[in-house]
Amino acid sequence: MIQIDHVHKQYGNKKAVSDVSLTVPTGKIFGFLGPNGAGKSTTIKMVTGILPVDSGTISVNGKDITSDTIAAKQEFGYVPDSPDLFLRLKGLDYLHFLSDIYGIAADVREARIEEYSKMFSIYEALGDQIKTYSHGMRQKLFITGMLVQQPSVWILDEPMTGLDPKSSYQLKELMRNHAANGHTVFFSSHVLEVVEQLCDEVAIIRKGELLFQGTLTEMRERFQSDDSLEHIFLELTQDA
Amino acid sequence: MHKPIRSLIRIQLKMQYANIFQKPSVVIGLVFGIIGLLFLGMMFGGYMLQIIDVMYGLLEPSGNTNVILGSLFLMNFFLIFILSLMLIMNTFYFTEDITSFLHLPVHSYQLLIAKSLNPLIYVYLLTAAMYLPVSIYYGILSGADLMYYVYVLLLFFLIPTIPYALAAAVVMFAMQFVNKGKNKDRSKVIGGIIGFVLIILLNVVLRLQQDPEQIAQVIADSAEKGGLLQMATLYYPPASLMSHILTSAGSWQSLLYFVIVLLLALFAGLIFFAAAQKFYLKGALGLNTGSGKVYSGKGLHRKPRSIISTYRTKELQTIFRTPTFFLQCVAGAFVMPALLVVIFFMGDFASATTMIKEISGSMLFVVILFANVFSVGLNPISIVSFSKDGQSWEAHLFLPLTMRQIVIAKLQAAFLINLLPLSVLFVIAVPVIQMNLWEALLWVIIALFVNAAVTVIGMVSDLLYPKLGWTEETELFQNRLANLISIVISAGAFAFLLALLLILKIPMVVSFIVTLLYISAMIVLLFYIVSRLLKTADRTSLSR
Repeated sequence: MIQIDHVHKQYGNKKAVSDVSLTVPTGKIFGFLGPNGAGKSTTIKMVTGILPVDSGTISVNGKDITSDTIAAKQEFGYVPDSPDLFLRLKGLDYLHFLSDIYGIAADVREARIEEYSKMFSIYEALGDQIKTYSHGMRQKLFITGMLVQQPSVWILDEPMTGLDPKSSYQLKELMRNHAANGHTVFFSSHVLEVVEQLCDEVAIIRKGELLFQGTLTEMRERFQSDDSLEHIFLELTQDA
Repeated sequence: MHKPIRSLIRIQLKMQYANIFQKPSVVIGLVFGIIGLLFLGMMFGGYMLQIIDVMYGLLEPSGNTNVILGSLFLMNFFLIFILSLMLIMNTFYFTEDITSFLHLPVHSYQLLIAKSLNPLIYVYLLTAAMYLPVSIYYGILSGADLMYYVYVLLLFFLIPTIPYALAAAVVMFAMQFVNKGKNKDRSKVIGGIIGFVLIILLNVVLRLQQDPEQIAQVIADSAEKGGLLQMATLYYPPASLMSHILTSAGSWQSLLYFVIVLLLALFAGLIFFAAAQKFYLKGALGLNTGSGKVYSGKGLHRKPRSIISTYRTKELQTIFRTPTFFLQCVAGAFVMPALLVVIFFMGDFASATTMIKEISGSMLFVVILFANVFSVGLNPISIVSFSKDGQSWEAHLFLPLTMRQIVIAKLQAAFLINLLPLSVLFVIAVPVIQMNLWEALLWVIIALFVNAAVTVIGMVSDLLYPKLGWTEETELFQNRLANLISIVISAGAFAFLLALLLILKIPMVVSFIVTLLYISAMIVLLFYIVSRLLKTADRTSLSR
């Protein structure tokens, strides 16, 4: 579970996130929506410890990201929105590096690396430097890294970007299974069809403020609309 | 000028030089660079003018003074040609931004003329340093008139065009075949190592020929026999044409020669154009860093490692696989001690041994200490401890790593790399000093302590002036205040110790103990500074 309580973040004079409170429950797939520059990535970066919180608290499975940082980071796996990291490592080196950091046993990691890298069709490229991978392949490698780690909380920032249809389908299935097994999936996306297909709950953020949190049914009830998520989203996020 | 070339030049200028002077580190770097260049220019210029003076005196009686200018043009040609080969390879093929231009609807020659802006700045700087002082001094010695100086200036603009265009054509032709494997990284490393070898060879040549009078005599003898100018004409006809232009400045003949040189320069431009259109894309397209091999499953099973060990491995893999880091920190580690030997002893171990044997015990200790500080202090590995992560630094913030683990692993990696120059120096020192076991042990312990201290000093400098927002690794080694800070701290800290040891003239054993205590205290203080800097830094950019 991810608990965000009254979180603020400001860059200079600009409020990036303002008094956001959010609960991402276990056993659910939680979609985080908002237009560009709404504060999605800033919120995710605060949850993952990349950005410090100005005020408020964030905890992952009860562990505070500010005061109990390392324990909180052990609880989640993160796929960043731009997977341009460790470019000079080979794909396999990166997966071993990650496995060492999360303390994954040798036989377990071997089986998982083989299974997931073959699932996402990057096995044959594991001997190459990440620098040579396409955007989609990098994305798949970082998803594989998270799957090798198998944490209880998955945090994914725009995970479908650059994925081919097959990989996108497989990721969605894995997300469903993970949530069905009583774990947490928290992801941001611009692809509203994916959110509509996958999510048990959604939150919508605009200009740093949370506009809504709940199930899609609750959203339709609240806005008294039978429209698609796309229509409700466009109405909610349009400038007043 | 064609519109696309103008636009390409403008974008190059914006990308490389916009706002550059707003950064204090660049301004300070520039000031130090200019002072350094002036110093080198004065040294080299003085040396050259000394040769010209002697040669002029020797050749004047036989009326062969034009050989001075002929050899000057010939030397310029070779130096510009070699420099251009290296600059062109880097600028046309290895810079990361080249791929962003390849899809544009412009001809290769248009792109390459725009890309030539930067290398031509260096080429003209070299020409100004090599050609102008000598030709002006020759004019003064021969009492030349105004036309001579007009031609000197006109030729200044023409001199680099021929060797530059020829070097470009050679590189473009060769790169079609060199890059059959299309491996950009490997080609970069090979190019860099060739550059290092050329630097060492140039030093060896300079050391072998250090007596200006001797050089002047050799050239003059050759000229007397008519050999040198013949050679210049044979290998590079424009050299003799250019020397004739200057020696008969003001005559119709010189104007005719000038027109011929101008036509030759235009012809070189045509060769550049043809090579660009015919060969460039064949070499540039598809350059990558991939192996092209299908992964076989090797290394899938691996024993788990501790966090520090796996992080240290990641650091070393990054250094060895990034051509810029490899050349600067690993290959460079072998070049510096080699240069040290060339500069100080020119490989004459026997006289070096005699010299060292004459030094007393305490002085020998100072020499050992100085050699180690100098050798390890020149390696930039720890000055890029954090900065080399670039945008990957973000991963350190979401992975469950403590700052302590990161610092220790980074220091260990830098310490290991710094053992390279120290080991090379040690291997060279064994036959020179003919150390006994005790002295060798003392050397090793001192080297390890110096290494630890200089490594942490580099890390402190990197944290004081971090640079995570780079687009090319080379930016980490150019115009950075961190490099200067590291040199200042290392020089200051060790100069104090060296001065203390020189003044006290204490026995070697006491010097040894004092040094170990001093360096240990320094390391403790430096660790404290590192922890303070990390606590006060903005964790996403590491800046304050």
